[in-house]
Amino acid sequence: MSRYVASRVAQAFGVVLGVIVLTFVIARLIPGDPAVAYAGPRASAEELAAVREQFGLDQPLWQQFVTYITGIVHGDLGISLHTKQPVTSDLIQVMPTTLVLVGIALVFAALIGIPLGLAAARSQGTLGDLAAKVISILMVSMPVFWLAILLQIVFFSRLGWLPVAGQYDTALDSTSPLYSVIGVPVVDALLTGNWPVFASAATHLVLPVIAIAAYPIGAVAMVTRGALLENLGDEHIRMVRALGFSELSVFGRFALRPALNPIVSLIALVFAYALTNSFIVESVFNWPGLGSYAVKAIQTLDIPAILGVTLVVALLYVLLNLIVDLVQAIIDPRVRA
Amino acid sequence: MSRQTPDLLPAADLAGEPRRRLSRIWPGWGSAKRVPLLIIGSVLGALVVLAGLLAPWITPYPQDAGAVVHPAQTLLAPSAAHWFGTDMVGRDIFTRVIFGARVSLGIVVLVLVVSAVVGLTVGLAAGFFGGWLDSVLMRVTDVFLAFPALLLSVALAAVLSPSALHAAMAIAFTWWPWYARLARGQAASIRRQGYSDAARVLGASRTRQLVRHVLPNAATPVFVQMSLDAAGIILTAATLSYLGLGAQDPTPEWGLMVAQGQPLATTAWWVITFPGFAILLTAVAFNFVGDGLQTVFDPKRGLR
Repeated sequence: MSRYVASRVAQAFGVVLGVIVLTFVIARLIPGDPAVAYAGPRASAEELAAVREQFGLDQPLWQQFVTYITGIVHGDLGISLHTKQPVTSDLIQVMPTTLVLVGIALVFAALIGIPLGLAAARSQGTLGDLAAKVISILMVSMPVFWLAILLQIVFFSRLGWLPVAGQYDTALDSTSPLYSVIGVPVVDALLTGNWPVFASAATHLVLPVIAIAAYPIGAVAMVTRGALLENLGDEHIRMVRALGFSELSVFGRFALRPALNPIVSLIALVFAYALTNSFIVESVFNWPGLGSYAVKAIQTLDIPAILGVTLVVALLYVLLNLIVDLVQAIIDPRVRA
Repeated sequence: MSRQTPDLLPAADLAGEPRRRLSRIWPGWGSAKRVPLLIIGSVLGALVVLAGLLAPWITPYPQDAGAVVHPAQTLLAPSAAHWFGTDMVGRDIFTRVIFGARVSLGIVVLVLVVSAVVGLTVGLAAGFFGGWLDSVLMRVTDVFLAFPALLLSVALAAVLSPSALHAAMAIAFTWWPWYARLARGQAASIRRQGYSDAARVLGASRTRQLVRHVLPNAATPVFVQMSLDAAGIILTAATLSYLGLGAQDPTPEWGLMVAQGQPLATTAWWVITFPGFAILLTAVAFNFVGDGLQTVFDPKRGLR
């Protein structure tokens, strides 16, 4: 096991190095002069030279790479062209909101997707199974930006049931002021026992969570169904059926357990989808998270911010994949071989 | 598959225990149940392709696919004259949605061809030759797979100037590693098969082994995967355009049309609804086909 862990961790380090090289290469693909992009088209020659010196653009490429990688090791991702702040401090500010949003959406996706897949596998070949498959495919085929806007139109403009933008009703600030703990209203309100704000924040979560969770629900349901059916055909299931175990325990105890591995391996992929979906959803619902930050960076062609987001998300993704692999090795000894 | 030979594959048959109910009502269900989505998906997909091909002849106002302005007809609600209504400069949305099929399908074909060629080349080279070449190529592939696909496309498309072609290139840039990995696994296992040894013993050159034996066998799973991926490419391309990183006005691109209609979404619902529905419909069609093909070719493999 420790050998597997060591080789897997070493591999992850190699990938991280590659990720850093690739973002550096993409940054150098920018057509035109990055100094002009920063200083603006009307900058004088002296200003451009100053900018070049400030960012080390007058150095040879390999030296720029060394500077870049040294910066990353020290947590320096450069200065955002748009906010004029260090990208790292911007990211620290926006990350918690997004991670909370994505986390809630993923829990929601698991709570709906796994039972849906179970039910489909349980009734394989019936119309119910077909319906579950069609629903899952609809979920994974939904353009998330369109879904988010439609949800806004239907539940806010037409029905007036749910709030459309922001994280909570800021009018509550005068009656029950919110103290910041981690900077995410729904969590802060919960931790400080601020129930009016918590209730408001919870209703503000409904539509964004649905929009982000759509793809994960479909994907989880499809994989759960497939993994269960694969296991239901196995010898050990025949065995426990022959031994007279109830259908419930055949499914719950003997078929679901070995099916967990494909579901766990899906977590990283679904996280990636949920996170990239949150980019769109946040900007539609006006949430001040990583997604809104990234979209703003894209719109203002803020290359350091775009690459900072790309790098941080890729690092998160590598880390999550590593954790998933290690968890799988614990669940299923065959993985280690 | 196992139904006709229950004695040979008892385990698989047992798995089918709960699925017998419908076949009692309609005996043909047993064989037909695998394909209904494949059939529906193929028909829908064919309709989208036909719509794209025949766009100039089946749309009421073909000139509206371009940069025209009808100030007197802006934001008209759907009617007999304009089935899907008109947009903020008065162009017929039905016309633009139909023409949009050309853009989206064009991007899909371009991405699939480029990434399949690159992926197959890299994967076959790695799997067939093995050794250090294999290690190097697969580590590079790992790096590309370390990014969430949409994110890497977005980053690349953002540093290039926005256009449909650049968006397609940015997507292909993130798509080929999947095919490389798939083809590598196939090539490596084919190399160990008996017929591969036979070809080698008979004195077939490496090129001949690669082209005649490895490529055709490694390509099949890649083709199945491509059918599954078409929907993902449609969605990724639409998302890039929605973010302003793909096709630009006046190109009738579905994602772009949704983005343009978003500020008016509450008053003129039709501007975003129909292009978005076109994306959904096309993605569903491709997913139905991909799912059906997967069931036919390889019933055991799940979603990747």
